[in-house]
Amino acid sequence: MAADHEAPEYELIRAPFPMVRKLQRTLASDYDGPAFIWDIDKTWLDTQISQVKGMLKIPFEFAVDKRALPGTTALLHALRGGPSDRAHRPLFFITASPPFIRKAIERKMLIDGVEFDGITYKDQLEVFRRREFGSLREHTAFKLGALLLLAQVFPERIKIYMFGDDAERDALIYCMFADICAGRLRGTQLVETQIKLGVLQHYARDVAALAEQLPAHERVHGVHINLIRAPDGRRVLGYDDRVLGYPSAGAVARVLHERGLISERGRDRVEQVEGAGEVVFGQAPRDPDGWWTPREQLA
Amino acid sequence: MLSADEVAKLVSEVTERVIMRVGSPSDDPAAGPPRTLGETLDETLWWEQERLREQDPNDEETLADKQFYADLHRQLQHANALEQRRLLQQIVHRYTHEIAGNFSPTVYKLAAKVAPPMLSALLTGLSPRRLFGREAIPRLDQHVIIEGEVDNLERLRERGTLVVTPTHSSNLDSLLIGFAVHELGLPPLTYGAGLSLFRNPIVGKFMHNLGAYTVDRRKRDPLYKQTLKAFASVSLEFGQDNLFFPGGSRSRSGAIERGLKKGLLGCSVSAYRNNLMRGKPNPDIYVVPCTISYPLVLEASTLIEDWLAEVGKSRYIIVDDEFSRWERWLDFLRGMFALDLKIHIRFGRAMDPFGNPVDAAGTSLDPKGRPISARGYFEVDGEVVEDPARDAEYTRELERRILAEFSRQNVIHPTHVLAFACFELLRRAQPEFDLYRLLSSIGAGRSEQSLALPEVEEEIELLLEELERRFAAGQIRLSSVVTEAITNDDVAVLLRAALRSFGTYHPKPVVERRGVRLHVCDAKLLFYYRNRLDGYALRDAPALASFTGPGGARHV
Repeated sequence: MAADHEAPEYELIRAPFPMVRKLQRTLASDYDGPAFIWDIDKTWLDTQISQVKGMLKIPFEFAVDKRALPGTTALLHALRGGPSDRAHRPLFFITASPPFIRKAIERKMLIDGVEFDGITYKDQLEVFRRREFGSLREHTAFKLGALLLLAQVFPERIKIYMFGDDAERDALIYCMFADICAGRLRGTQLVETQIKLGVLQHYARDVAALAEQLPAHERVHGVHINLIRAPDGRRVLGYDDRVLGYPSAGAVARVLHERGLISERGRDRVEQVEGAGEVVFGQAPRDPDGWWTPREQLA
Repeated sequence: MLSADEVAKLVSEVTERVIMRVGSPSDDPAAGPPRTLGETLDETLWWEQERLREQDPNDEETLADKQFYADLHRQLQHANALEQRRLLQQIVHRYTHEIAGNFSPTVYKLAAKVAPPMLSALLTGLSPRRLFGREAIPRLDQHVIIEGEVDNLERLRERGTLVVTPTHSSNLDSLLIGFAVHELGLPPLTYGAGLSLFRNPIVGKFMHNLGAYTVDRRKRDPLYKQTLKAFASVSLEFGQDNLFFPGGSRSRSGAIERGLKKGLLGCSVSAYRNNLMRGKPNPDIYVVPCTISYPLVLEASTLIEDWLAEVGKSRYIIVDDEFSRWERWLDFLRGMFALDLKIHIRFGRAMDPFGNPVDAAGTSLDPKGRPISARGYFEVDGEVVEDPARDAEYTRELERRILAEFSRQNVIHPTHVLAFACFELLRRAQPEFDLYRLLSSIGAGRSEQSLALPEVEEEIELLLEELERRFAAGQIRLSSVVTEAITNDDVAVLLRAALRSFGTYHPKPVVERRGVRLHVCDAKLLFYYRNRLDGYALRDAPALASFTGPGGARHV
């Protein structure tokens, strides 16, 4: 029991990218278990924040209107519970949704019983204010920045498991993050790779500067991509088998159970909702130097 | 429901009966020697003038009352016995008219037909997307669970008169019971509703037309109370099914009632006795205890403040609570629909006015299930006789049986379990604190108390084990989510349900999860919801009664 000092709930972050973050848990420095990082749009919720049409709908949507993708809420419960169903494993969200809809998103989390330890929103209004319109829909610098800021506060031996979708570049960004953590992708190569992907130069530099502060260490242990756009998995085939695509929450739950990350009961509950199809593993051969990012994507 | 003619007869009968009683020994053996006519009038004048002194001097009703009592005072100066009787008649008639409802079958039918879908549509309309979309409109009957011993009610109603006696947590109770009896195909009940309800901007206009009669708790005049009792009693004798909230007013603490108002309760005993004495056909009166269990209570914040301020006894009329504010209604109902919350209306076993259970045919049964004669309770040498002391004893027994039934039929929701677990953990951590100090130490200012989730889960698990045992012994009821948590050994499902309820309706969440800790943001509401589990001796927790005493709060 503790009388906690009430910290300001949300942090306004301006570098390496404008974002708003809420962190609610500090992990013990010797924690070496798993932590899960999730995207929201098209990974948990059936929303289209990344599209202009989706953004326009926001003011007319209430928390009760938001729909989770089938089985994903049960999957989040199962991951949080871990193999014992009581583990309260670390769970963080990074979303390109603007902070002004945080109330609806967090209310939806409350309604669905999704426990989280932190959430980062892309500060779209600040990007708009800066007249950097190209960066409104380009999320690479934002996501890498948010991931790096999380990695800074994580214990060094943590095992990160990431969840995104194939509607955008989640697989590539997560792989780049894995390589940044391990110290393979840093400096000029990191800046230029981002620029190649359409990131503005100053953001690319800020991300690279932040990356330099992170001790080199393998942190990422799995990348899981919801096959929302190409259910046959062709968008993940170019990665190696550490990246897997899943057509349904049940399909990935089976793998996560085999890997000891969720309980049997957790798996069954996800499968009850949506268990169709099988996961698709990346088919590229593993890089001898350990790279996650396909070489052709690098600058 | 009574026709206009029958209501007129009822008013006249009540007036006559009250006037006859003046000067006779009271039903209450502790009331002392009977008052004379003059004393009764003086007493009425004194109490009413006291009351009017506290009212808004510009209020039209107050002005009319002041005028009436000024005239009365003037006439009383020189009145002889006959004139005194006439003045008393005037007062009682005035009281009775004020109390009597003006039931309108048309309004009732319309309300029963239109209100539930209107409510649903209104709530759906809170989301523009749903309003213009094609999604199914939620229905009230999916959120109000009517259960328990309901099968015999219609048959009993044909054989006698029903007195439904529910627990009382919210002003929504009478509306929900109205909805329940309509759903069960029973005729509408008449009931005494506080004046605040009639002045409520949302439901006030409909109250009289929906079968309610007025109870003005500001009126302390014993004559008024006698008139009220007579009104309830005579309406029962007229065969009008009644709804009594035997606790008197809404539970301020959140606990189910542990004591009842015997004045009103005694009406069922006296009505049955009078029916027998007058040889009425279908003289039976059946008392039907009932619990109304909410996962969230609309007026919880105001009620617990009132209890803690220890003014609950004097502040009978709360006119400024959440029930009078549209936005709180909408928040509450929206939460109920969006979170799929269920309100349980649970009818207990019907009993005779002496607390004996009755079977489907209305026959009273002894503790071994053997038929007994209820009439025999009133007979001396084969004759039904009046005996106030004896009837008061019967009323006490009825009270005991109703309270036992309340305890058994109390439906426990996840919010109650979580609140109880958190409160117990906090209380045990500060054993030296009295209740008020404990509450002010939790969630006060910027330093909220927080609890580690695993610690709370463990406490809930132990609590659920005890609840399961009590449920198996028929001592308590559990909502479906609590049952699911027990059956599947899944505390998480209960925690999620409780947290979403606590986080959505009240202006400040009662308990909020942040990371892996639970923060208590509103200690008073935590205590309020915890109290629903009071009295079951769970986890060696002290009983609510021990929290306060004549000298204020005791150590917890």
